[in-house]
Amino acid sequence: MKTPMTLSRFRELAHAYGSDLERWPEAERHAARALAESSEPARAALEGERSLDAVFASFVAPRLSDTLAARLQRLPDATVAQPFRIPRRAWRAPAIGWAAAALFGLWLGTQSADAEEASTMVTVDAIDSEPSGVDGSDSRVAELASGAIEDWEDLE
Amino acid sequence: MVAPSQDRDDSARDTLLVLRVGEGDRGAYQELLKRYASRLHHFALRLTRNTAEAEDVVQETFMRLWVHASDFDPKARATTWLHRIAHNLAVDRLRTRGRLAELDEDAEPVSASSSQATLVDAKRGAEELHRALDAMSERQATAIVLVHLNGLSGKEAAEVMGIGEEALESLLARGRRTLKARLGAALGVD
Repeated sequence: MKTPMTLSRFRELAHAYGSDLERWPEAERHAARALAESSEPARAALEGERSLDAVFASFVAPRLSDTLAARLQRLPDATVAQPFRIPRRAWRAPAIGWAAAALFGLWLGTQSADAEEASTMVTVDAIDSEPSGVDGSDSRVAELASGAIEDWEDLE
Repeated sequence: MVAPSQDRDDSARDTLLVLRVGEGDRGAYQELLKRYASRLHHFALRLTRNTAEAEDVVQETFMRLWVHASDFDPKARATTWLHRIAHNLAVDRLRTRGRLAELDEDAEPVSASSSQATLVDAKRGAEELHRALDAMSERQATAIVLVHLNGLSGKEAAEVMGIGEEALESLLARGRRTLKARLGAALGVD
């Protein structure tokens, strides 16, 4: 059996979330509805929040400047859509493939010192800093490109 | 303001749009631009209090949408993901400018009469809302914008801000109290 909501808790939620119970925390809505049906003070608490809710309902976000709107429209043209990614399965090559790669590497070593850099994967990342909370997997590929990763299996 | 029921109906659609952006669908990108650009811009403006910074935040947010949409977890909500990106970008800018401490300063609520102010003119109140949000602490304004203007649930807003739901509730309650006092006074009602 669910615990009934106290009037005190009902008021706290009304003060925070306003008069629309659909905006209240999902786990507490059922108890809130039950109290609102049976309690005049609870209904009064909701009534006290309606006028501010009406102001929120009439809010319209400020229009973007034409310059910003145009820049946002053009972003896909200015940005590489998908950074090049090394397929994971590429590093599970069979032994013969690794042997061939090793022989190729030896051959490269006899060539120009720049040959190894030419085979390095590069990703396009137009953003200098990584904001917290966003997936940083592209930085791993960038590390590879810079030579910071020597063991290809680090990408797994 | 985004109504909760409408928001739920659009959630699946937004997820699909992000997934299509991940496949390079420019039409899906344009659709998300139409749906979120103004909201995210206003949100960024509330956080940074700087027009140029807010525009940079929005541009970077949509750049990340275009570049990283393929990383989006379809179990998450697109609106939470986009707001989280914008929030983190804005906070990083504040940190760079040495303004991060300002987020934590909660403004004292404007002292109000004990009686409940009645806002008889909601449309005029919306104009005053912008001014009132400007005068609030950034954390309170952020909480108000996320939940009451941009339609995120309390749980989602707390996730965007990196705080617990109880802390969010406190910010919302203080923010609403401040707004009721300011808007009631501005509209001259008792």
